[in-house]
Amino acid sequence: MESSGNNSSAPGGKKAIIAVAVVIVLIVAGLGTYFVLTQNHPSTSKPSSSVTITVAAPVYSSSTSIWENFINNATSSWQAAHPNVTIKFVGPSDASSESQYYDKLDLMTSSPSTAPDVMLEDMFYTATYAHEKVIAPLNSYMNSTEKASFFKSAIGQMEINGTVYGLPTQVSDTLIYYNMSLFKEAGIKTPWQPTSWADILQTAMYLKDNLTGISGFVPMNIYTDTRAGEAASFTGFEGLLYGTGWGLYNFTSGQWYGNNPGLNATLQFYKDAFITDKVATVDLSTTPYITVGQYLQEGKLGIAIDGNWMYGYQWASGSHKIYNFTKYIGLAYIPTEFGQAPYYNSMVGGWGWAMYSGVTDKSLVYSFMQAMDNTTNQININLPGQALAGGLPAKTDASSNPLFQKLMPGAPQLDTFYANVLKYGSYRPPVSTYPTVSTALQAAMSDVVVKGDTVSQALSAYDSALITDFGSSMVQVVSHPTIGPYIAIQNVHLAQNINNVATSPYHIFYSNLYITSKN
Amino acid sequence: MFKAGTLVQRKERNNSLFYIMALIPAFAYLGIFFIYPLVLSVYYSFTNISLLNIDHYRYIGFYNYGRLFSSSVFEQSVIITVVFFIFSAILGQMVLGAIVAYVINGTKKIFGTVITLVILMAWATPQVVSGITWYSTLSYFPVGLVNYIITGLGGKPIHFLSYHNALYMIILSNIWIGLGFSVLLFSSAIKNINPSVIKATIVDGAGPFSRFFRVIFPMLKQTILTDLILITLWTLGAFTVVYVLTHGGPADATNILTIYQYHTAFSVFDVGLANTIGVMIILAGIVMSLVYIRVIKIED
Repeated sequence: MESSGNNSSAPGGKKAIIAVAVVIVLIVAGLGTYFVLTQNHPSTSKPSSSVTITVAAPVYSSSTSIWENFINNATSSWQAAHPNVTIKFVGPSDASSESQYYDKLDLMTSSPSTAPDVMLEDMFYTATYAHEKVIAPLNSYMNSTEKASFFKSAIGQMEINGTVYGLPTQVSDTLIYYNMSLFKEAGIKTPWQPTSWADILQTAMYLKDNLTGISGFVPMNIYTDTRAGEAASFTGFEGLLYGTGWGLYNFTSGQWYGNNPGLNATLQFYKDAFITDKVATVDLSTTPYITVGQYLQEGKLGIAIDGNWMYGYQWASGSHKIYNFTKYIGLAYIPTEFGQAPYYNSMVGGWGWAMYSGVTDKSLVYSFMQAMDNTTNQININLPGQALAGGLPAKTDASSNPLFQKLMPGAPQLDTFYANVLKYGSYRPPVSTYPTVSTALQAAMSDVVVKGDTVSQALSAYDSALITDFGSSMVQVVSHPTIGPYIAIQNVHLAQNINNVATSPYHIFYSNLYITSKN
Repeated sequence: MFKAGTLVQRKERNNSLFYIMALIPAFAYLGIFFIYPLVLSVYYSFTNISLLNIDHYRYIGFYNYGRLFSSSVFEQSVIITVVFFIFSAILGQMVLGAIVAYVINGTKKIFGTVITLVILMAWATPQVVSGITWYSTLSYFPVGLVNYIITGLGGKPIHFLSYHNALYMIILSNIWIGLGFSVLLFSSAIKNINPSVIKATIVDGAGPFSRFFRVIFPMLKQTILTDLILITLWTLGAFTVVYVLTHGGPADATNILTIYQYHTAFSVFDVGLANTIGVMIILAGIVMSLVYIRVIKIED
């Protein structure tokens, strides 16, 4: 029995040993992985005589080597003057999209040991990062002359409640593209510059009536609906809204508008374009930029309210390259509602450099950021093949720099136009809760153009959504808003009076009709 | 005997130790990746946690639940999810799956194999790929395959993904994806039915329909239960194909609960409310599974 007992217990003992061994191996492997991963994080500890400045930027549309070359070339003089400072680019190299870049950046900045000293961020997120106290205020380092060297529409996005949190390095803006061949075919004189919203609708109607032979032709496009996401809010809706003199946010009272005449008028424009006049279609207006660009290029779309990035992304090179671009595609400013001063509007976005709030020697790091963000470097970073190719510099003196013409070698006049647009730039409210408002705005657009709700029904739902999310004390309704001019139109300088070329014979008639129908 | 008894006890103890040790990794995995997130999700549903300030949040009781039940968007989302579930899971996948399996079982083996393989390919395809395929097929702008054919034949293109049609299209695509599993499950179950029972029904003069609904279907209780529970959980958790096809639009026409939850978390950044929606989805899954078990009583 004893012998049999020994024999039978042996396999059990072996099993126990194997099991213990497996557990030990798993624990060792887990600990090993943890330590290896920990060791891979960039270390900020250096000998006391030397300092390392770490820089983070998105590499998904670029590469690590392009960024490293840019940073080293851009700051070579500064580095020569600071021999004890080492510059290290820390990626994150494994982020393949903008959202992944922010996921990685959030993780990196969650600990002082992994946080980069300098980081590139979409200016849209400045308010969020400032709210979370991830980035440092820079007012102590930036003087008024330096602040004034940036376009207001750029620096304004990185300034939260009077505190500057970054240095803009690239801007993009919105404008109108139109297919010149189609305009000629329809008998519309080019160059075309609409002088009011009515002018846009009138021209689109004219295209619709005169180009009936083109199968599947869409007269105009403006992004809409939740499917188009931020393109609907930023590129579409807000490009018009700020041309009414109203906005989404009351900076004086710190409240979001639940309703105001500007929101009313802009939603009415959507209703006119999509429902009443049927010159735009939801099917095209919810597709990505690339489809809209292709339709415009192929002569299936007449007018597109879009961004300057379209040229760099789609038409400058690659399979959709347009040779002699300015012969085929026209550019125009987005007019204000009635063409009132400042006559035009454009939505401005872009990227800027920010400093991590935990940086010890902020003065040193700021001087490095200044060196990296001078006018020449801003142009260089936006050149074709560079890290932020396709954008525009954020400094007002950039267009007088000889390098400026190299930004778009195929059509240098485009850059001048894009840069001129910046003068009329508006930007999204730099408030951390903006994304919630943007989502509600997209829903309001959907209500009007998809469900066919009235403007007042859609705005009522919009107002309710904001009150649910923020509470009634954070939402302001401008009482008894009226659709149409809230200012005496005859006393206002109109774009049509300063731009005779743009005035078409149908303008006055349609403009009056439009205004009358709204009253 | 005493010694032998001790040895047996030691052996049993060693065996128990082995099983416990061997199960530790599985339990650790289950605990870290399933139980912990589940508990965390319930916990977060009682807080005001937001992606805008993820480190600072506080307990707010049932506030999120109150908001959810007073929200018209949630109400609409529940209705859409119920319609999506009934037509896509119950009718489209389970009932149709059982019928297809029955038909396949009656055909030649080679046809059965080919049909099963084709249906399973849809199930095995990654859902993002399926979504893109469906979008390319149904799209109006740019012109999708179906509209290309329609216009080629001289017809007018159809807005398949419009406000009024989009819900039918996501139901169709979800049936296409999920049908293979039900067919496979019912197919093997039908094969396991004693052939003499089938023969007896033929001898008794039962037609194919009455044979299926009166004899075979009741014999598949266990399979029906398994299929029902699994497709219920999968359909309640369906996200990818709907997101790729419609993003929950147009105008929230296909805003099923998971899409609503995603937008709440990543568009509005309200993680607390998103977790509340998640808890409601989990509760719906549990309650429905219990109801199935109760209704479909299985005798041992």
